[in-house]
Amino acid sequence: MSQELGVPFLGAIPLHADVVTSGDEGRPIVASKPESPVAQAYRAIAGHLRAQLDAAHRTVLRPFIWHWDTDEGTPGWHEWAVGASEAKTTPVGFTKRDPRTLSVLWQDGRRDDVDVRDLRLACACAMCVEEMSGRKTLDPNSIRKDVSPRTLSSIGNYAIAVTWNDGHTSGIYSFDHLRQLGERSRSQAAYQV
Amino acid sequence: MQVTDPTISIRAEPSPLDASLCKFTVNRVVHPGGPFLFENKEAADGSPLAEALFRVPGVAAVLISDNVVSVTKDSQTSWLQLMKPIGAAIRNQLTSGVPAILQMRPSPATAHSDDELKKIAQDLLDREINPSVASHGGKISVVGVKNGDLFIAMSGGCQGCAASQLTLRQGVEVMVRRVLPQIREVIDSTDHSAGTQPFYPRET
Repeated sequence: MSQELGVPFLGAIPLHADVVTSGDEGRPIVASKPESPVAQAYRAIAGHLRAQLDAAHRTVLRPFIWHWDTDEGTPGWHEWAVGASEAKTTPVGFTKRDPRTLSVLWQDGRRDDVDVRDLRLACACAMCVEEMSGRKTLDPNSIRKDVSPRTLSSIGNYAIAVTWNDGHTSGIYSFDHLRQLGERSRSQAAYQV
Repeated sequence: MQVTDPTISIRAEPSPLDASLCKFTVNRVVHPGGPFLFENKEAADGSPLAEALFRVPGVAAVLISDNVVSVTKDSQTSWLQLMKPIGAAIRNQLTSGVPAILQMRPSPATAHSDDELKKIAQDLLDREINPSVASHGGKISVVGVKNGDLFIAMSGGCQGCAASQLTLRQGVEVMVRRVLPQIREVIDSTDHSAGTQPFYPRET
């Protein structure tokens, strides 16, 4: 049946009177008879479900507050989650490639390397972009050469917020925006010199 | 005499958002710690890599963070012109064994005794120069200061190496002069033909 419906098979529960009885009495069998084969089957299903959810895009990255300089609180780089879906705007890893480069791993397997100053220049907050016209008001010359993130933190399941060593704290980068920026960086030729 | 090290790889990535900036990522540490920002030629004074980069026409600012060198250029020069000389400057620096950056500030210009000068020179070598020289298997020590002349000796990988004289002249001497303008001459008292390090104080 699960094959017909195209959903993952989580497990089978034996047909057993204890299940009915404990259900009727309001004491789940995993609590009343935790060692019984039926309870074990339930736990196995819960485990499989948990694994499925972990692999699903929303829960790969747990909420994080990542300190750039010390790397404390790093969200991690979860290559195992690549391919779980073709989602282009679902990150499954962030890492500091070097002090100047934020790397993002997307669920579709793409890896983007974004210069942190470019990330600052791409800020789309109301202070950096004119709200009505969308015109960028940031002049690259106005941004320090050594601008660097202090913290990067998750905002729900759709964005990251970055605080900067130039005092700017209102920047939020949606995953869509981050992916676009990554694509711009990727399209820029790199050279071995 | 520079030997090109084929294991050094440098990748240049121009910024897609700021045409005046290009990042050079090296497969080894250029200078530990930092970031070190040099916004003009004057700020680069005494730091060999920054000096070398500012000698490339068109370079306007340099940021060195660990294994990354971010270079800002003026608007008249193109990256295609600049990439090769910038890459070569980084490569030469890493090959030389001389630290890329000098962090010690010049010592007060008040007159120092030979003993004081020796102590500062020793500090400079121990803290900033020898960690880098050691990665090339060498060590530079202060033999002594006599009447304002600094005598040093090179041992390990430096000794007898044809490049060591150059290392000394171009790098260490610049750093010593920057920190200790009072030093009259830097004299290499290493016997580069023998396995010992004789110290021949000059007749005074």
